Amino acid sequence: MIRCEELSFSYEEDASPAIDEFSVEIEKGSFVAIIGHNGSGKSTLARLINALYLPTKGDVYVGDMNTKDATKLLDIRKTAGMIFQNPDNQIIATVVEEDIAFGPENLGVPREEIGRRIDNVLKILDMEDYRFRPPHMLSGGQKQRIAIAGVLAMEPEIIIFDESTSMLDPSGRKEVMSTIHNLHSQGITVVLITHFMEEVLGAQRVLVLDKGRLALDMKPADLFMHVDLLKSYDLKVPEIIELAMELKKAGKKIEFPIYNEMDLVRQLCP
Amino acid sequence: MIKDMTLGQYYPVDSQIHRLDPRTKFIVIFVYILAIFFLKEPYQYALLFVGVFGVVRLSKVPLSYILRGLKPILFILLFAFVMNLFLTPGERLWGFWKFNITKEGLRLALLMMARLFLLIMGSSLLTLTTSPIKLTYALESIFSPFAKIGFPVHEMSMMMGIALRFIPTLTAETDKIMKAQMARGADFESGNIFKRARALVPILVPLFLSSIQRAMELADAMEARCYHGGEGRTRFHELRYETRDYIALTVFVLFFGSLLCLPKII
Repeated sequence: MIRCEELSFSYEEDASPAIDEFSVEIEKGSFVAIIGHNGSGKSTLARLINALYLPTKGDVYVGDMNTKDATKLLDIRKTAGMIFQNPDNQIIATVVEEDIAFGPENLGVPREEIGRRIDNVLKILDMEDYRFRPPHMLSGGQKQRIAIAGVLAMEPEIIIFDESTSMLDPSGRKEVMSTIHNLHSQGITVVLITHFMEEVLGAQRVLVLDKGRLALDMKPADLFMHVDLLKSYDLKVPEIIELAMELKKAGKKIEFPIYNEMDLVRQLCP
Repeated sequence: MIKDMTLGQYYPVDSQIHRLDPRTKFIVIFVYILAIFFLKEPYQYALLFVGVFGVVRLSKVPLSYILRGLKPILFILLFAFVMNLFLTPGERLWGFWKFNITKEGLRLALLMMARLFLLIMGSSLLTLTTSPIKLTYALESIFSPFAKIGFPVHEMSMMMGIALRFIPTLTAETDKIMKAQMARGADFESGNIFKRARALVPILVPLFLSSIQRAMELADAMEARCYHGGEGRTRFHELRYETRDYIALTVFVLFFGSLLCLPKII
């Protein structure tokens, strides 16, 4: 679905590359988390997939479209929707339904069809009551879900979340994460860029970025095997895994993988 | 404190006035503003007040909400009142030292207050009952003939829409910055006007910086949602004249026509 081939990108000509010889293929319908500390190039990568940036070297393909092909620009952005970090800065309209309509309007979708899509999208996200509300009166988590609704209305196949939960409070984060999992179960390919390790555990595959390079490509279940390596990239291991490892070190019999508290509880009190 | 500013903020309820085509409201308000300056007699103003309050009732926007919004311009109203009161020559009613209140001054001051009040009531009714997006649609539609001679109509209306959309966000942010600076001992309330203006610098600088940041992020978000200018764009809310628009226009023309003709009849 998304293919990066020897992808490099620098912001300025002589600057060190933000993305360096990066190759990866993301399959249709998968749930991929991308992690890395600040400045590792993960947001840059998101913008490269969405054709907001164009590669300095190498290629990015969305479906079979090369992002360098200017004639496919709208198709690429329609196929790979993107949710940004700050919920306030991606809402364009002053009424929820008008904001959801913004994407389809740009694509030239007929009026009746836009109405149908708004109904549909609000139903999927369980936000029918918010249709006529002004977005600035909603909570952070709700705003972010409105932004998701706006992208969904373009009927994308992929949604890239660029640290979309990092400005939310814990309850808003939970709200958005469960929405993301819900979308994935409906067949949407999810690329989740984050620095919360807890969110990574729900993915099918984890890519670790360091200095613009692909440092690790693994299943979240294998996170515990790379603790020292992750620490060397300035990444924290999820607390629950760290706890399990400490317990194991102290002599308890613990079997990995462990994804959440319940997994650990079950092993400790069988 | 800034959050209390309701002047011109869209009030989302469903009413006959809200449902009118924004172009109708736009044209009506435009003519209304011009026409106010032709009213000379107090009874005309009294009738107009009745008319405006009637529209307020129809719009389902609480009167107290609108009046609260007028607070920021109270100073201008009083200023106009006092200036007219003292500076109009004529028959002296009362006075001290060099200041005289004249009969003509009193009349003019009252009329001027009523005029300003009605102006602001009218125009804030427009923005209270029309969502900013619809307002910009109306502007775009009214000015669309100028697009042919290269005037960027779509871009202008998009800019306006975004500016309006960010008013509540930026006021909330101003509030936050003010509180942050106050927590560090900034003082916005004492000193003369120059001192107070200077005290605003530590608010304006961070506000400008964050606005630029926001603008860049918003541009990315708009592009990511396939925005590529006005070409090939459809509209979810298409503007269409309906019966209620013709009724509103007729009522308006009849009401204002008779209001303007009244002095000639009486």
